[in-house]
Amino acid sequence: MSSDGFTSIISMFYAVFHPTEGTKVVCQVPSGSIVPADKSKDSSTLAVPLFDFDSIKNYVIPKPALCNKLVTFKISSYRVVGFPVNIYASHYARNSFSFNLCFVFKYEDDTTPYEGHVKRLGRMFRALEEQSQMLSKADKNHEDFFKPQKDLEPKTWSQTSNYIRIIQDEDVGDEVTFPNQNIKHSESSDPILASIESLVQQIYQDLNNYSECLIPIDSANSVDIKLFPILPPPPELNAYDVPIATVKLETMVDPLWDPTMVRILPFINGVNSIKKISILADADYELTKQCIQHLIHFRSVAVLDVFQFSNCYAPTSEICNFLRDPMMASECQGYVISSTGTFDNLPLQRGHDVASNADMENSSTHSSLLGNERSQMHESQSFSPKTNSYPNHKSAQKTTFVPLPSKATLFFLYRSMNQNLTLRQWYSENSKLLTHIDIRRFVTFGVLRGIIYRVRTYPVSSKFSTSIDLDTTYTNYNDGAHPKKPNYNVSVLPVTNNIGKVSNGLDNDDKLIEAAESNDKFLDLTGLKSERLKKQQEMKLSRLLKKCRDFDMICTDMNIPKKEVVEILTRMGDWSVINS
Amino acid sequence: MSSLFLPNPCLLGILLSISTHDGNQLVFHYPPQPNEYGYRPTPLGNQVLNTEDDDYSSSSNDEIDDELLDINMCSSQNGDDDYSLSAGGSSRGSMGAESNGSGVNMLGSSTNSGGKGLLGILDEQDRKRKDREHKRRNLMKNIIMGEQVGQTDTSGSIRSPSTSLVNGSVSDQEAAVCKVDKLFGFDVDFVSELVTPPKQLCNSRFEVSVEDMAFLGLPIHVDEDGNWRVSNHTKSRRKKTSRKKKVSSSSESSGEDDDGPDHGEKVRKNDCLMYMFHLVFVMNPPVIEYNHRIDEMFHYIVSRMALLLRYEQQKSNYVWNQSKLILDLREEFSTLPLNEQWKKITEKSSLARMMAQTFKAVSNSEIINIEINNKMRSFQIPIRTEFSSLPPRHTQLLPGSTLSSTSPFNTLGLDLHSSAQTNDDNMIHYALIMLDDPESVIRDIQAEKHSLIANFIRMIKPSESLSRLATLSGLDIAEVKLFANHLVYWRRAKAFLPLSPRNIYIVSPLAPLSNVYTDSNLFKQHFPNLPPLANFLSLISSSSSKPRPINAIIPSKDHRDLYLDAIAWLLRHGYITQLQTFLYLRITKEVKIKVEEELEMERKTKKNRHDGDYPSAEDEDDSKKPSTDNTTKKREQSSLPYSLSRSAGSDLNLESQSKLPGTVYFEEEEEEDTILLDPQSATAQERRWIAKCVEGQPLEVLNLFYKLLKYMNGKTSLELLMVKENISRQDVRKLLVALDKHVTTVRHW
Repeated sequence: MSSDGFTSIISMFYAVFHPTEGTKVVCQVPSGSIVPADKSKDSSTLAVPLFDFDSIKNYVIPKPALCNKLVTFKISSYRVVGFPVNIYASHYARNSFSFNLCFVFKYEDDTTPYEGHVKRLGRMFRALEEQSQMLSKADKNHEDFFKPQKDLEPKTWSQTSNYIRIIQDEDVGDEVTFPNQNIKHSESSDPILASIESLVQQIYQDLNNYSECLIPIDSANSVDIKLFPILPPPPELNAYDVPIATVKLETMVDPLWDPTMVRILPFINGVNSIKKISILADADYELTKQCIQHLIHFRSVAVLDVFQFSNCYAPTSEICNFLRDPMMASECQGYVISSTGTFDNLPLQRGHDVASNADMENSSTHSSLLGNERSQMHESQSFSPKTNSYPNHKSAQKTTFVPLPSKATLFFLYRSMNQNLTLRQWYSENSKLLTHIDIRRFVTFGVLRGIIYRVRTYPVSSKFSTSIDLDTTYTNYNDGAHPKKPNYNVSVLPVTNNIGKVSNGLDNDDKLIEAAESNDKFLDLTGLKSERLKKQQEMKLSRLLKKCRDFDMICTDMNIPKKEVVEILTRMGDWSVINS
Repeated sequence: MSSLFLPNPCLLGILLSISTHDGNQLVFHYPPQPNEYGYRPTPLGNQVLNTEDDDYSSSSNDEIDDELLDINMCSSQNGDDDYSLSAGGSSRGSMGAESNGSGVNMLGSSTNSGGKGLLGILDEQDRKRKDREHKRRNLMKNIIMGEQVGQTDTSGSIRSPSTSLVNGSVSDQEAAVCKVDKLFGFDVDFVSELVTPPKQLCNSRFEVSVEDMAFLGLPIHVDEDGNWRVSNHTKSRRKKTSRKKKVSSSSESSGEDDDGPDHGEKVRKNDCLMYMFHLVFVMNPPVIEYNHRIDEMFHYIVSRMALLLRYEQQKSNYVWNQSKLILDLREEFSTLPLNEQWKKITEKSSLARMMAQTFKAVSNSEIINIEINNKMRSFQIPIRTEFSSLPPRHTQLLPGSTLSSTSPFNTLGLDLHSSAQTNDDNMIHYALIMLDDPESVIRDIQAEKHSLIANFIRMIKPSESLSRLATLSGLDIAEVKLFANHLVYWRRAKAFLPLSPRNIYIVSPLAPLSNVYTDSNLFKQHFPNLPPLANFLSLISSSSSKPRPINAIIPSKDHRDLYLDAIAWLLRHGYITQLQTFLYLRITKEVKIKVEEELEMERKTKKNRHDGDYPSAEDEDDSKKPSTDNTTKKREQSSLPYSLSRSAGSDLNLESQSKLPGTVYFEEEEEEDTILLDPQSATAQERRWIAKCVEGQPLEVLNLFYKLLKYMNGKTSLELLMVKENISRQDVRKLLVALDKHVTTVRHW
């Protein structure tokens, strides 16, 4: 593994099909890794090659059918990734030239970040070879790769005159090894690429050390590689999902960024849902969602739920990590601490008269706000009267020392959540311990680390289990009602009776009463309108109910608060909830 | 990542290639015209949930398959095949759908796919999409019209192009000869060459991938002595006779018949001209799952089948005989249409049949049951339906997955490399819930009606633990464990802690709630007297401010069994999961301070008494302490006066240091409660703390406490402990009440 998590290249080699010698390795890094090499030249030469090259020859330079494709294969405990290239041209000795630049990895490693680049390199080399025979001529004995002069047609390649003259000087047979004196010519004609060996060497080293490389080959071409991990596609998101940044997004903004992305960025704060972000940023919802998905894909955003005091959370089996992982608890301490608890930016005045507080305490409503109030009051009463002055931090310029909640306390708080306990109840039970803890952050931390999970609440209605044709009847109703819409006619009204009938008689009476009521005021157009609106909402809700969606989804989908949903549900008949 | 939990065999086809001295030969492949994606991986989005886990194998399904295949095979569109399957064999899983999706039109175009341009590909995709759309519409029409047979029409109409497609280059034969020339975009000869590695690569995992299409196998090569297996009892050495017969490749070993199948135990080497065979699985896993899918397939299917074939080859020359048979059959039926050919061959050759069955079963993520030489063998890629921790949100899972952090069955067979069963002895305290009717399971696993395992299966009850079953049945506990493992591994049963009305169940976070109304009917069939499923779940999940034992919703003692049955049903379908209790020991700061005081006292008295007699021993004691206690020790000593003076203070130091102007400072509490992670290996000081915690408790509480102490590490659930250590609930409750301050309970699955 290199420093940034990419698997490292074990070895690279460049092999060609030699007209007389067959498949052979031209260069290899590290030396001796593929075929035995002369140790005297390079002290780092491996004593024994990684594997037996002969047995994989046919996969390194395969038949044309396999060429120009990414080909990988296993040999002993290694995986060889290559892009064999086969070029047909009449000037080659066998009318074709084949080569392959192969990367060797550990077999079990993930090679996906490299694969695209191997392909690209192969294609580039192919183009270079086609344009200027760069590869075939880089060989010391490159004449081997070409046909003797009699078959040559000079016009097939550029800058050949030099070369051809030399070849014509030779009196050649069919397959003759040319003497070395030609090298300098070829080098002068192709001066940039010093040698494939050095190129391969450099790619190998740069990729292993820096995960990227920028190597110029000639004026027009260069080997530019940067490794990227191949990540799974991001999940589908819902409108009610709340993104929270896991990195400092604002520091990464680039002028070239997508405008929507730049726009929505300030609103990603772990509080706003995607829908809300799109509204706040005045951006299209679908685009916003896509941006968030992008951010998730690159792991710079995680997804939470809308924070509500009616949410339930419960510990998962990972909760023991909070104790076992020494870092987690201290990170949690640092993250959740807040000098003023959850409600620091609320206009809370300390100087409330005690009587009203006591009243609230007696009342059964545990509004979150009150909870805090109460807890602070408790403290002031039971511990020291002097603390009366401290919670008002905004005005007071005093230094306060706030005790960090202990790890055991935090653990206790997490474990005391359960499947049926709303945050509101939980808060009021533990308000004393939560004085200096930001609950939202506390929950966020727990969810992101997987030590607690959100228990979703699904409203269900028993009538769907028995009636299957509800949907069709509802649509019938819809169709029937539609044409009559423009003239708010009394004749629309019986529809409510229909509804009562189709919804399985469960709420028949209710509907009749409603119908009777609406009959009473049938001239009241606004009343009629709201009635119709109600019906539409009910229909929408029953559709959602049938799919068994949770409250978050229903609320965002219908764009109304939970309280109203509950009202409609109650109007529609029996319902109950499943906490899952 | 997200889809790793879903089965995705991504199998395109299975090939059998052999090497003889005359060269390589592709003996058989299945399906006759495999799909391919132009070397591209299976699109990720195409994953289809296989909801029919419980329904494996039954022979009737296979018949349906065959029938439908007959109808459809002639068409070059395997898409047909699949749609009709989902219509006709409705009980079959729909996994096949994903491996299709792209028709075989690829077959034609891929001949030149080497240089296929982007536009071409796009065009093709477009066309395919339209095709599929068209198919689906046709199918819908057929379903609506109620005539399945309509399929033949479509296939008939496509037949002519299909045959022209496959006819290819068989020039000297009659035009009617059907032959496959191209497989996966390669010439058939080349494919066999591709999957025939040199000997050095044989007898180990073989994997070649072309773009995203992988050829995976375990090539088996004969050794110098002519043995296929590396066996310890070496056979009489015979020199390999040089081959006498020269079989021209065109006539494809037709002259081999006279060798005759030799079913003797020892096979003469010269009966077998083959020196290598290779069963190759062609797959196209999604890029990001590549390694996982390949490993899975190799480990569970490829290697096991190859070794099985090797065994049979060594024993009875099976592979060679079958290969000859298949090649002869292919020759014989070469005039028939391709699918007829394949049907006939799979009828007559057991090896071909085996490949066909394997392909069908694997592509549906089912269990493969094959028969070789009258022996039944089963293979499967285990399906992940049990999770020990909650998978990340948005992760797709199979509906009905269960959640338990303690079940020793969770990792059963899923771990590719280590199979160490650490929880083995806890296993016997678990109970099984059958996923199917016992009798049909017995039939499916082809057990004798009155065999041990059949009787055992009939005895299984969700409320009886394995150890109890062992006593009841008189079977050895090891045997019972074996059976249980077997049933769980082969997807016949799931393991849970024995049901009891005192257990706490919650609606599982993995519950397939979107199915709640459809499953409701099923639930009603089983439990007509109970409230509808949705209401029942609601009853379980939201009747009080905290999860309660299931007892709370059982109206009377007479309803007990009925409700427990319903609970078993819900567990089986993954709707609910048991909430278990885990214990931690919490040392409060008060205890720590007290212990500290005592130590101080002791030290003083010691000093007074001995007055420096044993200073060294004491020093030792002192120096040990910081190392034994994790971190709190040092701080603790320095902070002692503070905490003594204001033991309740959560707002320490507030007044004393509040003079400095400026901001808010956070500081760690100087004295903290500690939760012990491993009381069993407590240090000397921790042991003192523990002793302090239980000081003054009655003896029975003390005894129980020390019995349970080693489990107070949050790893073993109380529910399991009660079964394991045979402790009554009352005693546990007594303990928890008495040590309320010190024993912290955590509830999760």
